[in-house]
Amino acid sequence: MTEAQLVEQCLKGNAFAQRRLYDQYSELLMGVCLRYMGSRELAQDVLQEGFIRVFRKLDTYKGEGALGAWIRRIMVNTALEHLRKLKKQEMTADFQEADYLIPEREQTLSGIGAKEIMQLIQQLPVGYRTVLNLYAVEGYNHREIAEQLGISEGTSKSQYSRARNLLKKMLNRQTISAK
Amino acid sequence: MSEDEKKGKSGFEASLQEAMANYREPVDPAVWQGVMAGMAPKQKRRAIVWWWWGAAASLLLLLGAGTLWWSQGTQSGQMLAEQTATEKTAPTEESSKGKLDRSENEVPLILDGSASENQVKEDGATDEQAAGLTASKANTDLALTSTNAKELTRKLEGQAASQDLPATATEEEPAPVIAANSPSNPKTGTRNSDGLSTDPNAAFGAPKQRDAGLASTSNDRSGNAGDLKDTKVDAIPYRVAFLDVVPDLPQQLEATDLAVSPFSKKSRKKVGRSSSTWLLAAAVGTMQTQSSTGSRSPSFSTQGLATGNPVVNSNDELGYLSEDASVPEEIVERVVLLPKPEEDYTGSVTAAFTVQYFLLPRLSVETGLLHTSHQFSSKVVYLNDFGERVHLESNFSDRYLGAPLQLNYYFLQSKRFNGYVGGGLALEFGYSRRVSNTSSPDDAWVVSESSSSLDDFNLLTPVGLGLGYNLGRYFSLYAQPGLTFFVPGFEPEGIGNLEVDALQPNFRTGLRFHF
Repeated sequence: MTEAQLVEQCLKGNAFAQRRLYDQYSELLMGVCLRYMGSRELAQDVLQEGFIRVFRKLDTYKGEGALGAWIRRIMVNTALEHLRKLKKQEMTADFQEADYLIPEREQTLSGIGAKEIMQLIQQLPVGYRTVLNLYAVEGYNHREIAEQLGISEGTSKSQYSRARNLLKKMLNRQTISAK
Repeated sequence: MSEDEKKGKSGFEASLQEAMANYREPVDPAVWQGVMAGMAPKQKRRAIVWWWWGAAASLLLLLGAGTLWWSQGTQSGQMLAEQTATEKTAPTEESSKGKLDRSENEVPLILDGSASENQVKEDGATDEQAAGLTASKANTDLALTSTNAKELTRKLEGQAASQDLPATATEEEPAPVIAANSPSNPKTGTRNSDGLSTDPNAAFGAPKQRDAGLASTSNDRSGNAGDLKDTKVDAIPYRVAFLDVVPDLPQQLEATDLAVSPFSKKSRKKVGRSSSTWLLAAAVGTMQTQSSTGSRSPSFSTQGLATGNPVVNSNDELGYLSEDASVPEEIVERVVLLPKPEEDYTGSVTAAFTVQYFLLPRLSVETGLLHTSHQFSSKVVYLNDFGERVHLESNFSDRYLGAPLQLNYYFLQSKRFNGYVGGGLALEFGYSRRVSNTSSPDDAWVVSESSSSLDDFNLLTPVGLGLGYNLGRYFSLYAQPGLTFFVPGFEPEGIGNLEVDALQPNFRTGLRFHF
């Protein structure tokens, strides 16, 4: 069954097709949600709500671009909506930890498994984590991030810079402890 | 140059993206169940359930209000039926005598339905008969304090006895104005045999009664007049009322059986001109008799003595003259006739809880529960016993419960606000009238409040321009200024002689559940 046929069947209310679509993307999208939300419970809530939106809005998918990318965008937006409900202070918290940042060294994350990276990302403060995900993983630029999160472009840049440094610091610790 | 490099991204970001791009995490089965549970069909079912609950609740409330309204009418009807049964079974010996030998507590006056205004003015003797003015000893002692009045009473008694007339209608003159001039009110639909509608009068908060007086005995009016007297005695266990008349009317008019009815225009509308004529006849007859004794100026004006005429009692409570005498004795003891007041309908305010279902993205149908307050005001100036000018201002608030069926078209649907135009049909049942009286003799202010039941219902077509503020997904607060068009015959009861115009302003506000 092609993607177009899958979408068509889902639109007709075919439960098997819906389940197939869900199975095809749920684990991948669970990873996305986990990166943004920081906890498994919250990630599953977002995943559930995101899939409901996917099925409700499937008629608006015109086949332009990959279906996976379209669904992923909905999921990211759903996660951001949840995050927006958090206090704004949390998103732009003054993280004292940034003062203790180690000098930046280029690092390629080689030798570190994706699961470990995911765990480190989840440990980041929510504001850092969100900007890092949007910029480094999803590929948004700072202007787009600023619009999405309702913050200034400068804030996005500084948040990302601090998030990046903090993550590197954590990776270094991880590497040292592994050795 | 890669895309990341174009964006100024380093190898770190690229590595991170690569590591996370295809990261997968197992999902609990409960998530899929949650997705299924939250799918559209369920939402739709839930919406439909809400719609049915809303419709059922509205219907229930409407039925409840209707039942309450109907039960009030039935109770009054039962009283009327009991009274009629008494009339039919009561011995007529006393009444056949045409005498007025009543007990101490009985009311002496019977109003004559056959006397016309002209007759009253042309013939004093006929006036007296037509007025049906009689007096018992008790009432004579209590009410008719002047010698002239006592003489009048004796004269009337003698006249009635000599002619064997009970001072009521004669068969030769069966009061044709009764049926001809009795207005038909589609809201009540109940009329007795001679065309008089039942009259839900009450008196200053007293329980409502239907046609306790003249209308209920209309059959007897053309037949056994004695029964009419007995009925009046049973129905009106109150004493004589003194009437002080405002400056342009004679100074002191001693009348009997003029009772005060509470702010009810229906009494006037339903009984119509015929009863007004009787009251007029009674009053004029009395005055002419008094004038014949030389103690009063005969310059009596016909103004202000019809049923529905505004009066104020010794507590400065405003009421309207009626044939219904169900008035507490202490209130009736002294009544002042007032000049025509400034009466006005000042609009209505509605609080609502409604349920709205969208038929189309911008078109919805709405029903629910409305609580409407129709506002009236009355202002009058008169002189009290001390010659002080008294300003009496009364504000009436008639409360109704009702249900609308309205269509709304939304021209604005933003995340927070919505705007619409709406219109439809609404039915509302009256349940309470609250009156606030403020009188100001000189610098002193007296404020009193009272409430009574309201036996009325309205049919109206409201239209309005609304602005709403969304409270989450399903609820919104709204304000809807607009206009209300009352279906003719189903407009608010009103006060006194005020006729409520069909088109009136309305302001509605409330909470709306929509889906």
